[in-house]
Amino acid sequence: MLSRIDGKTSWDVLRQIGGLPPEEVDRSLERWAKEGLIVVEEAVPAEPRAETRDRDAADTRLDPALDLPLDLQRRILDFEAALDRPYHQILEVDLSADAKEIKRAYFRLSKVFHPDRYFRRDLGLYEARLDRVFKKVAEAYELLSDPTTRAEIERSMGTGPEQGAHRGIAAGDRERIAPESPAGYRVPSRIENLERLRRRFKIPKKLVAERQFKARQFYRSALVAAKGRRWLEAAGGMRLAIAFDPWNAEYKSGFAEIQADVHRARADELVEMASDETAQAEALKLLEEALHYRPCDAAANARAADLCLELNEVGRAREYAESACELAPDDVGSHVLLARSLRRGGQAEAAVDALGRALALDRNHPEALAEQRQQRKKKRPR
Amino acid sequence: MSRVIGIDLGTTNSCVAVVDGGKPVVIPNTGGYKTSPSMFAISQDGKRLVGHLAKRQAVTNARNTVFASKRLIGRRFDSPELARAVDLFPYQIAEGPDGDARIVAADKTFSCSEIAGIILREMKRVAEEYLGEPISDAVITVPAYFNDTQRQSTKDAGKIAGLEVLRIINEPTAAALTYGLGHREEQKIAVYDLGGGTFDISVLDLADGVVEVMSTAGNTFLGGEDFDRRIVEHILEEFNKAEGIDLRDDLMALQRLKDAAEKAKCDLSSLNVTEINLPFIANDATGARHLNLELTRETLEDLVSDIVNQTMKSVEQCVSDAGMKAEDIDHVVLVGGQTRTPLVQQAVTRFFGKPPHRGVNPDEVVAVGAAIQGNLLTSGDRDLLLLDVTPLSLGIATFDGHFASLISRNTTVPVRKAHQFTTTRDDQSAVKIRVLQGESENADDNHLLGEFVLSDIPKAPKGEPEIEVAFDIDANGIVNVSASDVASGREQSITVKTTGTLSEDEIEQIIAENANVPFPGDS
Repeated sequence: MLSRIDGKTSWDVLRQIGGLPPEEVDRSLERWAKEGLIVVEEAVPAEPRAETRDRDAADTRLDPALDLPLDLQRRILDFEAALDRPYHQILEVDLSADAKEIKRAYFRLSKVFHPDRYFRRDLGLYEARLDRVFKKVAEAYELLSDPTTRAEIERSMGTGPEQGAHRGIAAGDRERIAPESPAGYRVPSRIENLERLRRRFKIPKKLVAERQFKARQFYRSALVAAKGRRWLEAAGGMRLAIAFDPWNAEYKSGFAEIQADVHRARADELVEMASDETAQAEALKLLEEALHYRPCDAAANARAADLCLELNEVGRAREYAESACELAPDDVGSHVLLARSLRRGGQAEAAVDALGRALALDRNHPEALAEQRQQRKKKRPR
Repeated sequence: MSRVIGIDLGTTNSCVAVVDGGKPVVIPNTGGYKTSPSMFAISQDGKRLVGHLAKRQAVTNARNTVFASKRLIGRRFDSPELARAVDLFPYQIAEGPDGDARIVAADKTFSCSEIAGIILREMKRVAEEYLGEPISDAVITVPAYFNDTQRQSTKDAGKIAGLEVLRIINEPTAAALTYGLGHREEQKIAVYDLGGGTFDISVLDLADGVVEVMSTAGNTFLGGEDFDRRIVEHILEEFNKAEGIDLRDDLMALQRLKDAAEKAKCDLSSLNVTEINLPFIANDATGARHLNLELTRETLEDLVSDIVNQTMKSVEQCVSDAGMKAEDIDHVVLVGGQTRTPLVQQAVTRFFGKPPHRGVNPDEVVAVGAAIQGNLLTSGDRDLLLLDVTPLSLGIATFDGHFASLISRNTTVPVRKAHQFTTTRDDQSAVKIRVLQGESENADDNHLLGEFVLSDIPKAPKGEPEIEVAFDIDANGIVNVSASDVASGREQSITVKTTGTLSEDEIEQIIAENANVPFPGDS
């Protein structure tokens, strides 16, 4: 998930694509943010078409041609420029304001900013601005008029009513993640969700440099471990390197290489273990695991086919024999194995063909000749 | 600039008002009545009749007389409400090409918007005649609990009538505006609106010249017509008991019964007992039969008490949605003719612990409010501001059949809320989004506004594309949806094709057709 933290992806999206349950994502993000591993980017605009809006917003000229007094145009521009203020400031009320004052403030601002006040007037760019301003005012009222959400907002500003009212809280303060309660994870409230799901995260620069340095160290020690065939240690090191610097492709390919090496080694080990002394069923199991790591090993496929025949697993024997023939078409033994599996599977004609291919390669191959006798015996009428 | 009229397009009656010289005036029609029946008929000789003229001939021409079409507007033909209506109404109801309900009169099929348009056109004519000037702009009211499809259909009706609909507002809200104009002190009011076919309850906050709707609830298929029907059923039973004749299949008799029931109901608002007298209601081998029945207020109350109780459940919900208790309400305003029934007034008085306000005319207050809103919008009058809400939650169906609400009911409009969607499969190129309105957790139980497919999503692993879908409810309570791909910033212009409404072409066609049809009222 860390690799997704790029300053562009919002919390909401991280929850959906994190590959973890959303609660787990919340928990991790909160913990990392608290530990300073990640920082919150500035809030994301809630509405789409950011570019057009930015362009329009940049055009902050007053336009005397519009059907809107210039002082009101000024006021709308000022208000819109500060839409990220805390909700109390949006409504222009003290933190200590009571429900009635909040309502009055909302009504007062509605009378100025409600789109109905300017019905059918030529407002130019101000029409959309007015719309945004009113929606923000309505949102502030919706949240502050509900005691639960209001308490949440005040708590997240770090100045609950019990600490007395302060004015002029910096906009940045609001971005801070609410402190976690000692009891552990707290279910986020509606307001928190509203606010925080839009947050984007990035990792602080200094931390990034530190982490990259550490990642490099892990990578180096992993390479050393790999040379010494200490596979577990090597894989662990690579994992740590990736965790500390998820953007470095070198680490990822390094990890893949080590995995391949591990698989190879493991397969060798397994094939060795599946030597003649081992019980047939056990040997087959080991071989199958080895084939999982190294599916293109013709000899292992052939041995597996042989073992299957011994264990009377004719169907699987045929599959392994077919793979062996495909991987090593010049190996007479594989063709003989295929012929045997087919014959015992009741596919006499195909068995003859397979044996024919074996004899074409070597007409004196003892196993092929033995198989030829078997086939003839079967053909002879009783 | 021409003036804006306010029209209360009711189930049984419609009313038009205008602000004249700063004062709202209810406009009487040619006959001097301040309301006109919301009825339309095609007479035997092919003439189109509307209002009182249509009502007068209803008895002899029941099959071709359309009434209470508001109960059908914006509804699907296969909805349960429609099944009830098909049983009840003497005129024929058919299924439209888009699954909507249509009305057949004199072998011609009309969409419900067209019928409403005909009634609106009549109201427009009444206003023009009274004011002596052409009218082009109107504010039309709908029950607060109307969904988006019903609102759209009403807007279409305005277009058909040649009106530009500046705003669709909720009936109880309009009533509150009328009330708010005369009461400037800060207060909470409840508007109980029991009309001919719909019931609404709204709680509003009045202060500093702002009327804020706090919550609203209701039932779009419950009203005075149901009172009448109960009375009709009662009479039918009594007559069958006494005479052994079932009048159910006799359309003309039924229409006479309906009129008599409505009259009896009105009588019983002031009297304790009334007489229903219908001579020559039926004939059999022994000769003509007459219906003569005494109906007491007590019997009526027995017949309808469960309907009244049903409305009180919505009242409870609405008050609690507003975060209040019954005693927090300062005034109760009654709207709709049906609130004249003493049983209704008693129930309301009992619930709120105070008698309802008596200063407004329940038949006219809604049209007056619509006219006030029209005037507020266009005249620059800064006296009042209305903050209205959306009555129904708006959301989408999730892949497991649940309803995810994105804008909850009673949110102030206009409102816009954006939500991010993503894909559930690798390289998924399209997402289907079903937009619904309603309160059930189960998507299928809510009203489907429409669905759209967001296509051409760039190939990506599942969960990676960010598709932002923005839901807008404008000041008319009408829904717009737009979607954009966050990564590319490319916006897909999406129109939710509301099922069961008319297309632009159809509206144009209807307007063209009607241009050649003379109305008796037109000069």
